Amino acid sequence: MKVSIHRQALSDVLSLATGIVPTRSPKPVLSSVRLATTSLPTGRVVQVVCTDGEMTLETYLQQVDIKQDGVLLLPAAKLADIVNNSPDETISITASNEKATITGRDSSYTLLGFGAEGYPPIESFDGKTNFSIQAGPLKRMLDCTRFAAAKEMSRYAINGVLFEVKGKKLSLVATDGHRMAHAREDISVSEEAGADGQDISAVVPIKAITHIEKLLNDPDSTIAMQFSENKLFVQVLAADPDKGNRAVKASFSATLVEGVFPPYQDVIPKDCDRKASIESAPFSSSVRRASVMTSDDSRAIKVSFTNNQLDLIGRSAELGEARITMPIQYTGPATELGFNPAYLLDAVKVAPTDNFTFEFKASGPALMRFSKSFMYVIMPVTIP
Amino acid sequence: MNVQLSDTASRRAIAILPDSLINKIAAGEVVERPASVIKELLENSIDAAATRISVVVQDGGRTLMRITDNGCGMSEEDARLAFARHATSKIRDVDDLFSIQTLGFRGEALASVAGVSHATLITRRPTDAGGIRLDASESVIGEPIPCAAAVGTTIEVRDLFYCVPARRKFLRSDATEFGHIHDMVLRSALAQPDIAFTLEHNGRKVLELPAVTDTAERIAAAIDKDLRGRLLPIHHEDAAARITGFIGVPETARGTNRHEFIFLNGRYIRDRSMLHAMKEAYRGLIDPHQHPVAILYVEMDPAAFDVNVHPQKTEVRFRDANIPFRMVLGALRQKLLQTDLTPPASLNPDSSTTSTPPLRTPAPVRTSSLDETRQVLAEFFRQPPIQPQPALPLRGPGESPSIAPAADSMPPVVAEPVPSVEEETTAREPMPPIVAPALNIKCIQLHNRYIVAEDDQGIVLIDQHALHERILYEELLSRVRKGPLESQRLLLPVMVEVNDRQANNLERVRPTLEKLGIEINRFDAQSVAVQGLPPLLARLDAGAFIRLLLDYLDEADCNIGDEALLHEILDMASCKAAIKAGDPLSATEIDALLIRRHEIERSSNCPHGRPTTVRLSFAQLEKQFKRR
Repeated sequence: MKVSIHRQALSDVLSLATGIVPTRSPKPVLSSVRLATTSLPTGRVVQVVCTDGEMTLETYLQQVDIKQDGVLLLPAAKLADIVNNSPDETISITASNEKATITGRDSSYTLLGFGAEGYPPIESFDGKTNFSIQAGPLKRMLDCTRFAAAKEMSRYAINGVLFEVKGKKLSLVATDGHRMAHAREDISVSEEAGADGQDISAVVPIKAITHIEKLLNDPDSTIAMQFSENKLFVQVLAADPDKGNRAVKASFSATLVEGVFPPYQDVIPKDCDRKASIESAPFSSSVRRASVMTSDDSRAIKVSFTNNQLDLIGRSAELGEARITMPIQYTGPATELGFNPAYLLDAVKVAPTDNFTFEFKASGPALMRFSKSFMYVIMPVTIP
Repeated sequence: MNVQLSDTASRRAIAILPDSLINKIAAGEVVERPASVIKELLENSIDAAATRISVVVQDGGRTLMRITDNGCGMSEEDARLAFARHATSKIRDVDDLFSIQTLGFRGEALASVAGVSHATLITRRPTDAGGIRLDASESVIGEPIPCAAAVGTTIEVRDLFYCVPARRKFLRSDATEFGHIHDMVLRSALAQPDIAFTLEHNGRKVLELPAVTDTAERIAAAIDKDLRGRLLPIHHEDAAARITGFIGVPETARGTNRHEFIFLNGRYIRDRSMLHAMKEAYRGLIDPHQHPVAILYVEMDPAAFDVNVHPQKTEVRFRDANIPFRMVLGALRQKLLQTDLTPPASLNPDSSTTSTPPLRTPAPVRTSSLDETRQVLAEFFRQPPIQPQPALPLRGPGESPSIAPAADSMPPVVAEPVPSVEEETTAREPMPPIVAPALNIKCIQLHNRYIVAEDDQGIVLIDQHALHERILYEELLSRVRKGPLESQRLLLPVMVEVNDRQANNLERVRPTLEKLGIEINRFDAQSVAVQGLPPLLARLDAGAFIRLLLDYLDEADCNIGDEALLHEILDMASCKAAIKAGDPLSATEIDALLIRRHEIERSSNCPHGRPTTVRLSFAQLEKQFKRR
């Protein structure tokens, strides 16, 4: 193998790769990246692959000059160190057997690699897309939901984001058992998948979500997704109007979370008889100011709805009390509910709109509806 | 005898019983088993101001019991009276009965014993030239015979119950009966450390306790040598009473309550309220099914209690039953709280910590191979110096955490070469800022189970689950004392299957659960739903907790007090909400644990009483490394 590669492009790809490559693994070969020359419809490229056994990332370097084909496994962290610190615009890699020579204008490294045959076989996208969506909307949906996923490893089934496809709608849902975020968008369903009208319900682990988000930098690129029984395949296609021949920029696959996501539809309150219209920015500010007076012992604030007025009350036995008043649109009966202020703020922070409706009952769950495509269910705290 | 039988009816008229029968009946009350004889005779010896008492027993006391003391002895007249019923030198009138200062007093012991065995008394006063001997059996007292004897009294009891087959039949095995005798001698030995005791069974020395001035030494010698150095002295004094004695550190706790001793004015008693107070003081420091080692000497005005409740005199009625409970609980709890209970780590599990590890003999080295070794070493040092050992990312004060976050499934401690400063700034993502206040403790999590940290006395090893459990328990307890807890309602109730009985049990404890912010409601005939949890228990595995609680309620006493129930529930909840062994912890989580460890009381043991922390002291380490 003999190639010269645009240094910055390689550096970008390696920074994605080092996030996946395990730093310590029973299989040392997994700590490497696999470089291979290959052909795409757009031309000759260098394919860069890394995996930790559960997630696999495959990217393609277009700005390359291939002088000799070949396959090469190099330790990812060391290669990244060399490439990131190089002042050169391009660097060349020459490999024979398991040894690579990386040369720049004033530098020459010899780096020992691994035998190519030791690398696990890479499952690749078999071309049957379930649906596709633009990177921009998908990124917004992920932003609106992932924060609500359970952080504890013990609650395995909700340790991720649910991807649910029904007809031409994609829903993303995440919950930690106290609140639930739900985002919804239209998608284009591919013809093959659309033929059998296949609905999808799969939980993607948070770790994989983090890596998928890194692939969504170009809002116009198209993301094609395929779900198998226990795996998710994602393909990032360049924003090319020529539909038949779009360049694949990267492919990503991840093992899905096993276990059944709770029936989230049951959780969305449907019988809310009270409804307030609230502006986001003053609401956030008020909640933050009221929560100054919460403590470890009582973390909740009281949210009190009266005629066109919202009072936020933070109280703690050791500290004292805070009361913030703000105008809202509300004409229902006076109602007081307790909430964890962090949960209230989380949703307002990510929502793309400037106001929302707060739908509730005398007790029980409340619904914050930000738009047709984003809503948030939050459970109250009983304050004695 | 004046028995009149009616010819027409089989009804018997009332008759006065002969003395021998009266003694047998009284014997049944006082002399229940061989150990009762030992108890009475030991008390007599102690009251006789003996400084050495030896007890010889054969066949569990069935064949022979002999007690020899070097006390004041008896005159011929006294010796004769000793076998008569209600003959005692210890009380004279009713007033004395209510201010009893001696151990025996009812004056029926010797007579009762003589009524059911062949008894022999040999005694000599220091002033007498020789001793006398008196035989008695079935209440028939023989004539005193002069004999040679050492100063003091020897009483020999042979063939106990030979004339009361019904009693004899009810004796247990020799081992059991001797066990009771052993207990009796132990009690006297603990009450009187200044008296030397020996106990012999079938020719084997069981106890040999020299007279000592240090009560702790007597306790260790009499109960278990392992208690040496692991007893905490108790001293508490107020207007009502004085409590002294020793209690064992938590890890000396036993499976039985046979090592809880209370002596009231020198008399062994078993008092439920004081035993309960001991248990209460150790709550959370030892396993609930275990009992502490505790030897308490309570001194009270004799008028404040009545020992004449039961012939065996182990039960006492207090005028104010709350006083002893409060005092014992207060004295013990204070001692336990102010003591650093972190147990020392034992580096040598097979031998006690005091023994030295066996010396290792160096393997014999032949001269030729020694030369070879030298050559190899010389060669080695000619080579360019090897890379320095990669440093383990141990954090010092103020350094940023280098332990991977908990969300990562990777082992959190990663040994990798420390990158240079330039690399740090150009190649790596910026380190996350330190969130928790920098703790001046170096620490590390190992095997996702243990936290190793330093303190001013050495190295502490912390069981992360046990410590977190203890912290949660204390936080919940202190929080619930201030009032009911908030309850975060759950989006998805946790369902637990129950039967009717279990549902009723749950209903009973619901008010307590609600105070804790745990909301449970009947869902349908077969299940209950957990609908709210306090934020402190956000990690609680509600299903596992409820199932544990149901099992507990199934077995628990219905009359368990509210306070005790609350402790039990807190116990279970904190166990099921605590981080588990195997959970990776982030640096901030470890710091938070260690900070809270110093803030709570009794952090040395988990609520089940297992230690949370063991310490390797500098002394132990230096010894192991042969620095001294």
